[in-house]
Amino acid sequence: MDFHQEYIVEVKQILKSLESSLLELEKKAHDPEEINNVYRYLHTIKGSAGMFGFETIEQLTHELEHVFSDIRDGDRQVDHHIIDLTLHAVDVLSDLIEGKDAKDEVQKLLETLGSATEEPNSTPDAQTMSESIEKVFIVVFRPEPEIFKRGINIEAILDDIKELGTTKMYVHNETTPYKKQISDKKLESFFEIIVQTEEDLEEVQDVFMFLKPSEYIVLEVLDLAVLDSKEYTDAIALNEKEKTDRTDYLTPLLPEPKKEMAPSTKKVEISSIQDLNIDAEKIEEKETDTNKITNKSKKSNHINVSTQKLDQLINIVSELVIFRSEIQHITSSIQNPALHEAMEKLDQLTLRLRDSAFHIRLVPLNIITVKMQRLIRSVSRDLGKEINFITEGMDTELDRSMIASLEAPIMHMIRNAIDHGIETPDERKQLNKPEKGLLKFYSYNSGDHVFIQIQDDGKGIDFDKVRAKGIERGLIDDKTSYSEKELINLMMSPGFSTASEVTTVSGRGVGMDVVKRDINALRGEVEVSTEKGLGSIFTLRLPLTLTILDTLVVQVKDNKYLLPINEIEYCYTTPYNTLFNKKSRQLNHEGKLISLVSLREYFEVHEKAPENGTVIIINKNDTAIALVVDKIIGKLQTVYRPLNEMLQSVHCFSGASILGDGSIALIINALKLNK
Amino acid sequence: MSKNIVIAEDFGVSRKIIVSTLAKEGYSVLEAEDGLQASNFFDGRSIDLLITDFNMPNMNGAELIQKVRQNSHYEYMPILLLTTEVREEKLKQAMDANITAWIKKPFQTEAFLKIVKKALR
Repeated sequence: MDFHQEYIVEVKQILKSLESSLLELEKKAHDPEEINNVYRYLHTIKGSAGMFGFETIEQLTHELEHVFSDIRDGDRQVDHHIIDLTLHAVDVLSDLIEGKDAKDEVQKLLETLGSATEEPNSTPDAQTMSESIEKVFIVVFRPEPEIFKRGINIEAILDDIKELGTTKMYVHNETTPYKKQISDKKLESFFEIIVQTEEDLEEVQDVFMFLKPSEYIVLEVLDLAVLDSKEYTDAIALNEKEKTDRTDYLTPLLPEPKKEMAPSTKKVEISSIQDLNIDAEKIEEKETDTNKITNKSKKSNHINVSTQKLDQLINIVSELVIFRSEIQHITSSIQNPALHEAMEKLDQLTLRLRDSAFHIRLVPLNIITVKMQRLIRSVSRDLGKEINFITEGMDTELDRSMIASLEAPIMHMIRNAIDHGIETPDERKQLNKPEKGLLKFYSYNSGDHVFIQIQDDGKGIDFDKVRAKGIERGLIDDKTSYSEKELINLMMSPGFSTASEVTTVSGRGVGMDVVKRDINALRGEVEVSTEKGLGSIFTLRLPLTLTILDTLVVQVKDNKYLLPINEIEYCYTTPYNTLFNKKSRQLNHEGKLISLVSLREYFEVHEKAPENGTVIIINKNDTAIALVVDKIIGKLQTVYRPLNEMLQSVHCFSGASILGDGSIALIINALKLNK
Repeated sequence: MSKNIVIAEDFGVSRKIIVSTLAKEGYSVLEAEDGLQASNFFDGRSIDLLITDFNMPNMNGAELIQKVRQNSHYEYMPILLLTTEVREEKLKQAMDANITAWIKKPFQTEAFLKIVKKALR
């Protein structure tokens, strides 16, 4: 990874933290820590953006930083408008960092921010007071004669001073006109300039950036005593007439004398040193602030590892697991207790290694918390609904890639819950429910599975509506009565949508069928329970990881196939001819007729079948099918490998795995055998 | 007319960063990997600014500056010296060596451009 990419990764992380700080800030508008966090994140992004050529990012963060420094200083209040604006800016920033073109958006934001900074909500008086007052400085500028040899353009410096504001320049020792001296590169004169400007001391000093400290002095004039100060008299010796002249010129420029006990003149050397010290302190502060950020990440002891490296590790471990089975296979026939003992130890270690390796890939679900919060925020606002969002068990861990594929379905379910489930505040009031709808995101581990529940206390699923819609769509007929379970299944079938009008929120062309499909693709399941008027619970049941699979190895003639063990309900051995003596390929299982598929027939093995076959009842998502195989070889924990593109059209296989003896076995997708 | 800037810096990455920073601002930049290469650019053509590193092979920054200044074409040209030197003494010496300003490495692009623009005035 080159430094540029590293920078991008880092900024993305900061943007995430920024996003969550903003959402926190919305809840607690006056939390100084969050305000400071937001400011710091913006500052960090801005600081490095210029270095890497992200000028637009620099510009945008600069403006935002300005807004938040006002907020920090109490000159401005946090409101929804600012949070909205900044959140939008976060999106734009992440587009920018990914190299997307967002110039128009940036322009818009900058304009809005510009007008926002111009009219802060609070105490405009205090603002104008501190900003529009002109300060007065006396500058004595005495360049060394050889200044031209240093490539310094004196005229440019004099021009710069004049640009600061209103100036009055006195040229001393002007035997020949100073402009001629400059063009002849022979300077005898020196300059004394009185500057009235809105700029700070630093800005004035900046003009003399290229000069030696001995060549200039800048004094801020607070009152006339400056003319008697040592700094001034050391720099320049004035006669009485000149002094009166300065006094006359300065007097009308100075504000009414203040009654403060403050020193009458600011010693520039000292004040500049003080300024520098203050600056240094500020810088230190900023540095410790950034340290805080890094310390935070240090405290949690996280390191970033590329997924590529992780996958590599997983692959090696996976192969080790397979190799372990292979050795087990070889050594099982050897009678040597010591060997078996050693094998057992190796076994344990391999399994532990495998578990640790797989756990590296697991990340807590809370990485999507912020996304959910933002979604809820925008959806509930669009629909005029109020949501009390509660999360529980966000530290539940899941495979990183799984979380990525879960995001869309989860977001869809949340959107659905707010759109279709939770009622508007008025409706809720009439129903004696609290005005704020409750939306609960609940996650927990159980065995090899992770459960995610999304609960709402809305109106629940209206099964009459579902039925009517199903009939209207021709998905069911109006004569049969359907169970709630069947209607839920209907709801999750393609092309079904209960919303009578397609709203912008949930009408995105995807329905629950997509959710179901996505979850099933992760080898997970969706369950719905609902109570009319009280709300619904959507439960996702997901495997912990996608890479490790417990399977049953079965044999059909000489070939071995794998069946995921969690789909298997029941197995038994029975004579072959009793199974296929009828015409219909069906089997009575617990009072229900289910399809019966002989794998011998399916794979067109024409040899004579053995006397006894083994029936395996598969039950997946409440759909059952019975398979007949020659025999069961045993249970095997294998590493799941997806099929390559060419084989993906073969629906009866969902993947492949390598067996202990090195041969490849295909994983059967039993439900697809029926077709 | 765009300003011509010579940059002498032996460390490739630094040089590239500087060159691209300046090019983005619309300056035309001549690159040199050491002092000797850089000195060849000063053949009487119009050059508005020299930015040079101090430690370089073949001809170091001080020697380069001395040589360039001897040519009357570049007697009053601004020169910016890049340095990692932080010792006061050394800096004072550099200031006396007929340069406009020194820029401490590493620097921020923003500050760097500000100095360049100022030097080019």
